[in-house]
Amino acid sequence: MNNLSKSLLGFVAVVGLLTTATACRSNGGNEMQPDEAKQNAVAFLRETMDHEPLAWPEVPEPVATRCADGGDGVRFQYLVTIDQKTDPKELATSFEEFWRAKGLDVQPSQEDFGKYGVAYSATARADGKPWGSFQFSERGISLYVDSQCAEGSPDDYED
Amino acid sequence: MAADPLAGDPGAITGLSSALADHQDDIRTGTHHVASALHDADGWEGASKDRFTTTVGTIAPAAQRIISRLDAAIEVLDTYAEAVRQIQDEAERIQAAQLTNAVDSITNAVSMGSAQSTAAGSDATEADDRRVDRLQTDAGDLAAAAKRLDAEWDALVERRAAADRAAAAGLTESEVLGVAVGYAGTLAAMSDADFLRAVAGMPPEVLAAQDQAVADRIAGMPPEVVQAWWDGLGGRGTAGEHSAAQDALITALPAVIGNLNGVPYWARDQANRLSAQRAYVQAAEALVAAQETYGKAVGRAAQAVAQRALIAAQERYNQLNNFVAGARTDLNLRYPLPRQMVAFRDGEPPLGAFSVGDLDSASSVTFLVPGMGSSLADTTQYMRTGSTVQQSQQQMSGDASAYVTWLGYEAPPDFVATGDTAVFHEDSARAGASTLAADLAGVRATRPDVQLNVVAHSYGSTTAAIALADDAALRIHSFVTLGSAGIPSFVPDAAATHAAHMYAAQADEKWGIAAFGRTFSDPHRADPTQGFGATELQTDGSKTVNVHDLAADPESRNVGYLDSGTKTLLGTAKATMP
Repeated sequence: MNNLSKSLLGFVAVVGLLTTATACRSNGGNEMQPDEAKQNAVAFLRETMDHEPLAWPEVPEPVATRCADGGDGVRFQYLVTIDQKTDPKELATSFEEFWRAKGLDVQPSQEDFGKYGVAYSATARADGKPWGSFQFSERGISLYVDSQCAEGSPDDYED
Repeated sequence: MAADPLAGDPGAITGLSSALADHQDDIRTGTHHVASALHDADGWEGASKDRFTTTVGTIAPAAQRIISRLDAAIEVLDTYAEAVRQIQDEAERIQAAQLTNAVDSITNAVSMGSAQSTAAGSDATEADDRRVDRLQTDAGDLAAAAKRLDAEWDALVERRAAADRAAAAGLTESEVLGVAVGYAGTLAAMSDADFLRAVAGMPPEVLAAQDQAVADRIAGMPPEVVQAWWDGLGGRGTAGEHSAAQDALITALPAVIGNLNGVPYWARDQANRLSAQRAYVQAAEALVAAQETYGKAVGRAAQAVAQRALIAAQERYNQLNNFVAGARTDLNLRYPLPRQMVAFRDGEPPLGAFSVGDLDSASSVTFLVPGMGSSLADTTQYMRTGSTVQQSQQQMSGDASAYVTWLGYEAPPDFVATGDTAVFHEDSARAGASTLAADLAGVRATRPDVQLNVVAHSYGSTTAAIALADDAALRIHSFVTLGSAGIPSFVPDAAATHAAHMYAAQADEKWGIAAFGRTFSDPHRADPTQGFGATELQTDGSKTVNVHDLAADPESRNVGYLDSGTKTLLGTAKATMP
């Protein structure tokens, strides 16, 4: 066995153990049921929408998706959008502070789209909680909430 | 070989004719049911209803053509049965007469011998001489009768041969087969233009029955020839409005039309959905069969074989099940977009591509090329990933690039999960690159002015770089790599990809998957974010993207390259904006 093969096998073994450990931690032997994951996500979404008095739509039906590329489990992604002129920078600051205050790790980004203006976005993560993320621009708002990983598969939600 | 006038069973021939008549009744009943289904679907609307209506519209004429051909076949068989019956009756009469003649001849010969002996005796009389004369006359008559009967038999043999020829000719006439005898053979000798005209003139059921060489020849036509041919059949057409000839081609040759560059994507979509649905149904049946075989397997060796077959059947089913689900899976878009099954190649493994957005009209088209471990079983997942970019674009401008989830190559297995080292080599990328280049060329052929982009992840960037470097005529607007597994050394820099703009993102990934892939690549592959000439898409170190995946696990604090809210998502959306 040459050095390359040894290195590769070693890498596979280490990463395999790490990913298995991550998966075990994710599932914890006590997997969340889909309804509970949805309830937690909807509660977080409503809480976030209540932070700013905007013309929010009704909570939509979520899209079922994988927990991670190639992984097991299902998560539910909620997207609410508003098409109206806003001050995206001000809104972004407001929601970032709101999520940080709730203990989430918030990472903001921005991108200048030229004639379409600047997009302000952020991801908000915390262990054992639903996710939040947004994209704000002068044209409108996109607010995402992703549920925790639940037992099942997105295939279970394909009609 | 001489025909046998007594061969065959006229009753059986009549029975075959009756069976064909029964088939006619079945076809009439089936056609009636299909027409009733259309009538009952009053509340159903949309493109799929249009497609169903169009298809149903072709069924009644096709059924009538088949019934007419069966009529012609029935008439031929009935005529043949009657002729065989008459010939057999006549043959039996002749054979009976020949037998009688033979017995009479023997009797005559015996009598002749006796009479001649008597006439030669010392006590012979004139009466004995007259008896010999009479018997000689009888012998002559019997010989003449035998000769006449032989001639009648020969004539009957000829009649039977003629009846056989008439039946064979009748059953192979165009009224029965719907195509001239030898027509398929003459296609090969035709020029491309004549060949395409002939093919377009065939009814669907005749077209579907043509030799594989016909399908292969169509598939090998240059896109510009195909485009001119297709347009000559009634214009570009739309899913709802197109010519009967175009519909016949979609229905009869879905595997060809679905992947034929130069054909509009609405037609490819309809053809591929037909092919994929058929493959899916077959895979579902094969899975059930494999499960049954496994359940009945006895002995360790038989169980091991059955288990491998079951695993393979399950994998194929999962791939096709997820691919066809791409037509209906939920997506988080701001404004809904149509979907098209852009390509489907049924093989081991099945490969394909699904678009969110109309490739016939979108102002921008982006191919999303996944990396190691991807297959058709991931279709809906990558469609959702692509739709996140599209939603971002819709928010900024109201428009979005059509995103094609391209699973058109056999990606190397995920080496972390399997230990398979194929991802470190170029074989899979080279094989996939030719198909990717062909599919991109298909868009370029039908949409010469469309903005064409490629977003490639991991090993997909290796594949895409080769495809783009090989064909400058693709005129790629933006080439985006995310967590690249490395660019081959014969593509030395961004300029060599011929893309007008090249962007590359490389996060500080946990476990350094992409970096590991590049480090151990053989031959060595370069990081496109390091002195390659690509514009770097910022990932802010590990702050916004920290894993190799495009979409990350929510239970961790992981962030994937195209998760909502990330810098790389915005950068990708901007790079592929219409």
